[in-house]
Amino acid sequence: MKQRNYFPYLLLAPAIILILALYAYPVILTIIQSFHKVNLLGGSMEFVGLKNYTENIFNPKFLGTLKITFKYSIITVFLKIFFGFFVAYLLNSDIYFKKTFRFLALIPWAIPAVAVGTIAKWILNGDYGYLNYLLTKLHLIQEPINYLSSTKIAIYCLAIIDAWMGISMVSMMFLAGLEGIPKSLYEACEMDGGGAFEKFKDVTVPGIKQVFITTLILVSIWTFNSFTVIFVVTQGGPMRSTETLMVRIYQEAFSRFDLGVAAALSTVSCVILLIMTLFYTKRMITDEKK
Amino acid sequence: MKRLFALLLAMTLVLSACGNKETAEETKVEETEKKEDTEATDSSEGGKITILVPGYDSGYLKDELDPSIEKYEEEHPGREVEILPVGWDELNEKVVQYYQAGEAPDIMIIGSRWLRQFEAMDILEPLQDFITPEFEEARIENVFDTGKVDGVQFGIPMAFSSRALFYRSDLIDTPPTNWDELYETANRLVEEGEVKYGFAFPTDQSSGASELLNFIYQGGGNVVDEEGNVSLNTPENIATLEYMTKFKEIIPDPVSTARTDQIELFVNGDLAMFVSGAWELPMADEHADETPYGITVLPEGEKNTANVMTDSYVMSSISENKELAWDFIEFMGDIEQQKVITSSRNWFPILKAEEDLDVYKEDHMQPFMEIIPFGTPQSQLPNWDEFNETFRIAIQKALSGESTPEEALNEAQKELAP
Repeated sequence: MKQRNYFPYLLLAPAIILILALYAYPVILTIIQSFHKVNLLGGSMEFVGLKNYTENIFNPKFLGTLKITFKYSIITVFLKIFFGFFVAYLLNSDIYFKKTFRFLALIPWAIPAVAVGTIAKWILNGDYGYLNYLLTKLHLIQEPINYLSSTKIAIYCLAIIDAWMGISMVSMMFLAGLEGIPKSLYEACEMDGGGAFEKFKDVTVPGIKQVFITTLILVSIWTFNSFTVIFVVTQGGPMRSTETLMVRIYQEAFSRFDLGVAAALSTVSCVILLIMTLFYTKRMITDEKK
Repeated sequence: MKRLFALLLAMTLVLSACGNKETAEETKVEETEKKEDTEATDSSEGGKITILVPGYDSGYLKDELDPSIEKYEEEHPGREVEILPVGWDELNEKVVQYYQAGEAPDIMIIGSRWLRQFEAMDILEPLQDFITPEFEEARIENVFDTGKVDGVQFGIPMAFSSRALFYRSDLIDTPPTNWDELYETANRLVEEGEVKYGFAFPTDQSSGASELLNFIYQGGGNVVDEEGNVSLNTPENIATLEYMTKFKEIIPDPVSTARTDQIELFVNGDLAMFVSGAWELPMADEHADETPYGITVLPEGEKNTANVMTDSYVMSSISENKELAWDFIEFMGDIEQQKVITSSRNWFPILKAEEDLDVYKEDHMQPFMEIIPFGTPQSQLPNWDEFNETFRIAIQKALSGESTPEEALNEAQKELAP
């Protein structure tokens, strides 16, 4: 019979206790608050059952918010993953000044989101922004465009800004994955007569799969939770066209002072993320089994 | 087992990704708790009070409050007044955080438009018991009344602003006196190529709604009915918004124009006319050589009126130093301190004694003074922030052509009063 070893659990205990205290407590509190009308003063609560959920989730406004959130997330995640992989692939190939480029690629990630948002806002300004100036100089546009005042364009602008900041991190994660693939595998592939495409398909892709899925999960969660850039640049406007779930939660809590509804929406977003993550991890485990 | 593992793994990922924010919140709470410990006050004689001042870091009343506080501390040894600065846009967020932590500033400066909302949340202390007959006697009645909610005084008004029309005196010989003339003048100047924009409607979060209410009141409408319920889609308001949409082609971008942009556009020579307060005078004067300006009474709409706005001192209901806090409010409300604040941004008299000051006899202040007796006190809404957001979006939709005025107001009404 296999001997159970409890020692590792003992070693894990301090970390688990810390995580429970720091993460589980606020999460549980949020779930409890979502069934209450929370009085701001002293935090007293009145039980309202499912009211916070029924009144705020099954309505067109919430569906609109959710649609915006998913649209924003899908575009941003795609940009981050696509360009992140592209940058990582370039940095992993045999190029000169590899270390310098790696350092340079990290810069966007190191700039605070508020600073990026503020600069982006200036670049995109309709009246005196740099982008309009540049495009006019190049005779690409006749009239200045109000990027952040247009309900159609603003969300894409935000996605690009968010992606620009996130690509660094993603590319570093992919780079770590790419470097983990033994060179000998590529050589073996070459011996078998494989070209660049075969090397990519048969060596790179399987080699990076685990890292890819983990990165995808993390990036999806981070992007879904994006708040700073949106809040700094558009505050959910123009005309609510960039009001994602996170911005909405903020507004429920801090403009409408409705902590119960904010908690309910937070819980819903947590469930959405949980389902997404479960879906990914399940794939990862079944793949491992194979 | 595998499934359990997957679930655990998923939970950990989600939790750790969501984590940062939560811990940030916690540190904040810890910080305020720490503060609370050190701030315990001793007696009614000495002690420390805190005052929340929005916009302080960007200069709002900094130069006026600091000397007054110094003077107060000198006159009352052992007492200390600490300013807690906050941005106007983050005012609500800060208030929530303070109250959640069970510790709030003793005094706050807020726009009187927030009084009803804050009162409903039990944040404010009624001031009836503190106010002496002399204190009330010294104040101008209808200005003082803007600090009331349902007849109970919750705020002590300390800043009072009025509006007038700024116009380019080199381009306009006879300034418009009514809405029809306003549109004709604005339209003519743009058609003649004299300016880029004839007029402007600010729709920014901080002050857009307050400026737009001018037009609503002038159109003979209001945004609340007699019982205080939101009523946006009235025939008067629809007509007002229809009038405003006539300007569609001759105003700067209706979605991104802020009140502060108006004077910038004006001194750059891009804007012919705009409505604002007397605090724009120094900047207009500075550029008067390139863009000479005149000021006139607001062009009359259906009704001759303007939005009367005040900011007020309020006391926190959970303050532990209410006596001290009132003592400080009373000190600040004295003519010596009040006149410094009033004159700092060309505001208008709060105290009867201020009315005789020379500054109000100057010519360029007359258009602002003239409209005051006809002023409409700014509507008090059950939730100013929600109204602010929805109302501005409705105006933006109508002005940018996304909806008709009627659709926009109907939609906003449905959202605010389902």
